[in-house]
Amino acid sequence: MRIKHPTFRRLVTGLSFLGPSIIGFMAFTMIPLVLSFILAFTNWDVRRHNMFRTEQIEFIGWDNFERMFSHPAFWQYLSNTLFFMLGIPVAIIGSLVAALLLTKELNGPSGLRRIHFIAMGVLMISLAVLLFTGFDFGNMLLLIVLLFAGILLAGLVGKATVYRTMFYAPHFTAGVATFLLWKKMYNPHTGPVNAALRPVVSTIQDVFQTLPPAIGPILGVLGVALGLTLMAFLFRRIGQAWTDGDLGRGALIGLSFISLLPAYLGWRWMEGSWLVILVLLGNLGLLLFFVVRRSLQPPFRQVAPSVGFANLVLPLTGGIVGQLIFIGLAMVAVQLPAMAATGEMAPPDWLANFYWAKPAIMIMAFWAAVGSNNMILYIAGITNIPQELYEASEIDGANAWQKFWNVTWPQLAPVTFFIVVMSVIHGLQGGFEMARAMTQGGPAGATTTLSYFVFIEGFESGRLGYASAVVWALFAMVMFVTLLNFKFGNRHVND
Amino acid sequence: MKYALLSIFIALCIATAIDHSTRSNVQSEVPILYWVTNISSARVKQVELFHEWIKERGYPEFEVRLDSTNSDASKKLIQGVSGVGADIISMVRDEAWLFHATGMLEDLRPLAKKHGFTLDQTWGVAAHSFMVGREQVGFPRSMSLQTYFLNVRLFEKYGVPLPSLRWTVGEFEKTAQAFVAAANQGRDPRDRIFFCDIVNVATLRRGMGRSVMNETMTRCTLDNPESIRVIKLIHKWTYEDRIIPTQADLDFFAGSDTNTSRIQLFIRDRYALLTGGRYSLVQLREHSELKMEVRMTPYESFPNTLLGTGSVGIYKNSKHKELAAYLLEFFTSETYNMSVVRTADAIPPIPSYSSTEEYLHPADHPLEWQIHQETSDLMAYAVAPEASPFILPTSFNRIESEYRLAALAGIYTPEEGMARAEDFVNREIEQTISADPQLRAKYDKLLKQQELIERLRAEGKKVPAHLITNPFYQRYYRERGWSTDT
Repeated sequence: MRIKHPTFRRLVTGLSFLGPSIIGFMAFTMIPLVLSFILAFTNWDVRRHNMFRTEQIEFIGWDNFERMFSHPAFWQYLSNTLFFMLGIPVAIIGSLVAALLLTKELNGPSGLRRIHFIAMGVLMISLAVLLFTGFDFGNMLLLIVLLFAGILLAGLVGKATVYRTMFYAPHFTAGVATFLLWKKMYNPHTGPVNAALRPVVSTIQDVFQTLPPAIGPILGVLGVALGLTLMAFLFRRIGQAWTDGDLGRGALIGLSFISLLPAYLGWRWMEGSWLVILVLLGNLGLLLFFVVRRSLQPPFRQVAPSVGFANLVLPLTGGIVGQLIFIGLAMVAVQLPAMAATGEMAPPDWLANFYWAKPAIMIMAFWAAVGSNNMILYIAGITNIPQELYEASEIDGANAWQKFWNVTWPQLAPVTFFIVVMSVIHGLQGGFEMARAMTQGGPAGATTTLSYFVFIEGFESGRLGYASAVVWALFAMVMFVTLLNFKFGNRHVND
Repeated sequence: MKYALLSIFIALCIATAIDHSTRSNVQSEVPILYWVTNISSARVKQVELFHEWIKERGYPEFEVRLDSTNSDASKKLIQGVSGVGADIISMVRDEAWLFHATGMLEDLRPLAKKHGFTLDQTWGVAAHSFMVGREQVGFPRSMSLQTYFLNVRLFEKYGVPLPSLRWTVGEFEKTAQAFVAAANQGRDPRDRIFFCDIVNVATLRRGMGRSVMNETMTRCTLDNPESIRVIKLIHKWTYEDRIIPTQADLDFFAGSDTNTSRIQLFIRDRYALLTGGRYSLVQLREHSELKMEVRMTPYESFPNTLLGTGSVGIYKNSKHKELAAYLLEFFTSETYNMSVVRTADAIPPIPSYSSTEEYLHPADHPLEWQIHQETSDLMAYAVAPEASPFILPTSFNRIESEYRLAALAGIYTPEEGMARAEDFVNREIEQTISADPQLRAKYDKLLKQQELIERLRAEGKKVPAHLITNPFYQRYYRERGWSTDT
């Protein structure tokens, strides 16, 4: 029968175009999703429930979840996942910096020349440093010179597009290939990372052997002081936000608790060393001075308790990561004289050492994240900022930093919000490929993330029901954090 | 646009049809059987020999193709339980137990009887790797003993006396310390010569009279003085005596944790002792004719060697089970066993071939003669690995190594590490049996046996051997005179 009704014909045509996509979505996404949810409440174990055995899969209620939450390994792997996520703020800052650099005008002859002169200067200084520190210079020198010359030449010809492409390269390179490449780079004896670090470490050793032992604690205190300065800046902002009426009481209390995280983590990881006590006391003092003291005064205006949380939680997280880095460096500095005295200081055994494996992977992830989609999003965001805003700020006499802080950063808030949400989701789900290709989750489980744990339980142990439960717990976490983001995070975006 | 899309769709369908019809897989006139296994030149040669062998014997014609891309244990498992496993499945370590638990392996007893690849044909000590209970789920294609190959020239060069075939932990340590001191005098630390590449933890622990599981394989027993002592010894040998390489040293050798690289380093005099089995000779022969001898892993009170068995099973869902059985029959043949003897791929699965003149004294390799004799002598100390039906070997190995490495890295003390590992493994066992009523019944029965064993031991009485399921304790009790066959 011939179909005549035009609406019906249009419907059929539309459905025939959508059909493959709908079928694909149902078959490969929707149905497996629903099935995996059901599986999370079953005891499906491929060893017992398969085509060769007659046992029936049983519903076991919340047993899988109970087992998961009572298992120490789950918490260890969750903690690994969260540790890796500490790199997110740094990666976002890296993407932003890359985007800012890549949106700079390279068309003007003088600007172009200036940038290339700076790049050449940096290159020459780098080479001089390498030469001074006893770097083996033959082939490496030639390699570096050619590499940089090539990049500069490409930039002269192709302008910013070349650099954008180069920065984006990690994103379209096959993951496993880059992981294997980094594995080679991290080789403690033959990899270029340690080859570059070795003369530096050797020089540090020589220098510290000549200095008095007191230099270690002095540098340690300096590191702590830098970390506290960073936190002071953030506490001041929080206090100011309260005074200005931009921060609710609930948000203030929440942020204050979060700000004590570095001291808590330091206490756990470093077994209460005097440096951590210094950090703890310093943070408490700063909190009292900048936040608690101000919070006793009435604010400029009363706002709802949760207002302002999201505006400050990201900078605060960045600050916490920064302070943790400073604490780590301070700890190293304290031990440097003793390490130098042994005469056996060496660059780390990156992937084979329990304590270095996670930072090693985070450094690699940072490299990949800087030139990722985040950078593209930021470039798009920066390009869309109206020029009038910059012109107005220039008329007001704003300097480069003020223009960034008061124009660029607020204008990029929607982009940043999107990037934060996506990074958190990817962070919670991520880590499988790297762990599988580089460390097999080791050493001693140091790089096993929740996604790798799912693989182990599902495909190594065959407990598909339990693995599904872990997956849905992961989903719940992602959902919870995303809802938090949407609840608090997008307010500033919509202002 | 819709016509363009339709055209592309039709073009893709046609291309798929052409690709499918022109593939040699579907064009073959004889049945094709896939054998999922690790690929090597020896294996390829063995398949060629097999095809000739079936022709000579007038057996049905068919083709065996090697599939090395799916030889990972998890792939074999998932493909097997999904109904798309390969016809013939190679199994290493304790995979036979894992695959048997899923029901994906054919019980070969009728076929074994018909084709003559029964248990009594091969080494009795290998039974654990292909007999699960009373069922036969495979047949060995290769055997190997984990021993040390010793570079005689290097010992002579540094003036260190050669140790005896069997040596205690104390003798090992003393010899190793003397060797590394002599070999590394004035040498750049980065070019350090180590005494051996690795020390087998399982064999060392067994050498102290302790297994990782109890007598009935119902509980993990890692939290004990012997396991803790093993970690302390490995730590001392790695970081204090520097007789075995650290992970950093291994990384320096760029991927040297693989067998090939370790052999390369052994050839280049970076290790005095190389861990391996007879299969290592395949590569050692390619590069050099070293004067070598064989040494056992050191022990404290109980000399033992670890037996590795590569066996082959038949997939239950295969359409060609009868044909696949011919390959297992081939493993009992002179053609196959003598091929193994000549290529030095392994110890042949049929014991009589390991006492042939060609095996003991290969004409082209006179420097190896002592090795083969010593390996044959050490076969008397061979013990199969433990394989508990209550925990997957992969899971056990992951947990054990994770906590052992953590203890070696100083994250836990050896005592803490082993206690945590034991607790973790026992949790896994509890989880497995709580979900499986059949297994629970078996477990409960074995627990009663365990109680009986412990009571008899406490009373100083002999334990009936049939109560013990752990292959190590079966042997240990027998050697100690603690068990009785009655």
